[in-house]
Amino acid sequence: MDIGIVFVWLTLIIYVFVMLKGKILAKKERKWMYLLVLAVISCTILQGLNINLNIVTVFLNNTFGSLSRMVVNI
Amino acid sequence: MKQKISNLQVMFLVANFIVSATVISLPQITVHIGGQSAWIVPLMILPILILIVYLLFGKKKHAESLRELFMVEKHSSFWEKGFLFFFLLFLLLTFIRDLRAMIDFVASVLLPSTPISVIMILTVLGITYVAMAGLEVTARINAIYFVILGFVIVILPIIMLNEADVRNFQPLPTFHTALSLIKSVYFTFSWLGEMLIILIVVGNINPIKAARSAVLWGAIIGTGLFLIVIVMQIAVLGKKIVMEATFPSYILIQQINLTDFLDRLDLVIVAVWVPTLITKAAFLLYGINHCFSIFYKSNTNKFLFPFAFILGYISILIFKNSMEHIHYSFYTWSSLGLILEVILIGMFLIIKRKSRKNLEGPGRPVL
Repeated sequence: MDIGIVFVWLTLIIYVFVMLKGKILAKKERKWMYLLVLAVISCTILQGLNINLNIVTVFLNNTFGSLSRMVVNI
Repeated sequence: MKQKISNLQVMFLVANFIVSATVISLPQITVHIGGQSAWIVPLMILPILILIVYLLFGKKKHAESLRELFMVEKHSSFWEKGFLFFFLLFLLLTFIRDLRAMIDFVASVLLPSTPISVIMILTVLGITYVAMAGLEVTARINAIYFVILGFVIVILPIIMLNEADVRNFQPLPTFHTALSLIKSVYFTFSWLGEMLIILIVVGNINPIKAARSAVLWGAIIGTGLFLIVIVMQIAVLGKKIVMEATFPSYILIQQINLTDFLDRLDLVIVAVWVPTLITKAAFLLYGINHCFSIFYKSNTNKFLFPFAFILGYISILIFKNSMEHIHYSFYTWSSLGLILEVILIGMFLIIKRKSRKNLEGPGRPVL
């Protein structure tokens, strides 16, 4: 676990704590906030385990990228 | 309260969208395809941009129809929702691409021993801080830094006069080079077409009647600055270095040799350029939040902070390395960006026409 992950987790905990303590979040907004925090934590874990999601880029490169390669292929 | 931005701020924002991310690596592919005549490419793109601005904003007397577009409280039509979907996609892809470009630049030039995740976190914190302050603050910060960056680019030909070699432009363009220049335009256009980002805040421009001229001047200034950068790169570095370098603009400013004691002027210029890219990213983040706000009819930036981190991590996770990012930026974005821009222009024209029809009321001809 690198310093970046620890920093992000701590920052998010403080942010959510301040939001909840100050009653800034409405009840229906809370689930969205928890969902986003969960998504951030998942991303940090993926990054910490060096798992990349370049399948998205590979797909885009093979579809739209090949269109450009029809124009010029360097 | 509805936030307002002046026409001067709109002009600087548009110019920033065109020039700040473009100068990182784009001249490499532009010169690679267009050769020593690649300086013509911005001049070929400018008339297209002017035409797009006239097409989008139309006549001044119809400007009032733009005022109510993309407001959070307003009911959105089917076309508006469709436009917002594609616009959101455009903003997300641009944000991820620009953020990764900035991270890679900082990691390879300024902080080579710092992990990219740490650079990303610090950059995202800066971007979120500006974006959460709102549209007016972002526009003001942009105006300050863009004026300085613009001044630096404008004086570039004077301070680099001793390094420029006119022979680098030879052989001069002929009709045979036209085909390679058109190909180069294809690869460059989607980047310069990012001026369309301003459309999301078109209702916030005050006075709305002068919006068209502000966007027009922004496009002219942005393209002009890009032209200066590309001309100076060819003149000082030559075609061969520009087409091989990952960051040709950085190599260009490293060549500034005014006196013996001012030998690290490149760092000063980078310190001016990075904030303009941060303000562009902050505006993109603001735009993303604005699109979500219109979808959910709730004007809030509470979710911006975790959402920015998600986008930051995605920018690291979806590119295996900086080479993959460069390939994506050059090849994929040139087609994907162009397709998205064409869709956005088409949908905006339909929305504008419908908005004008509503404003004029039933029974009046729509011309």
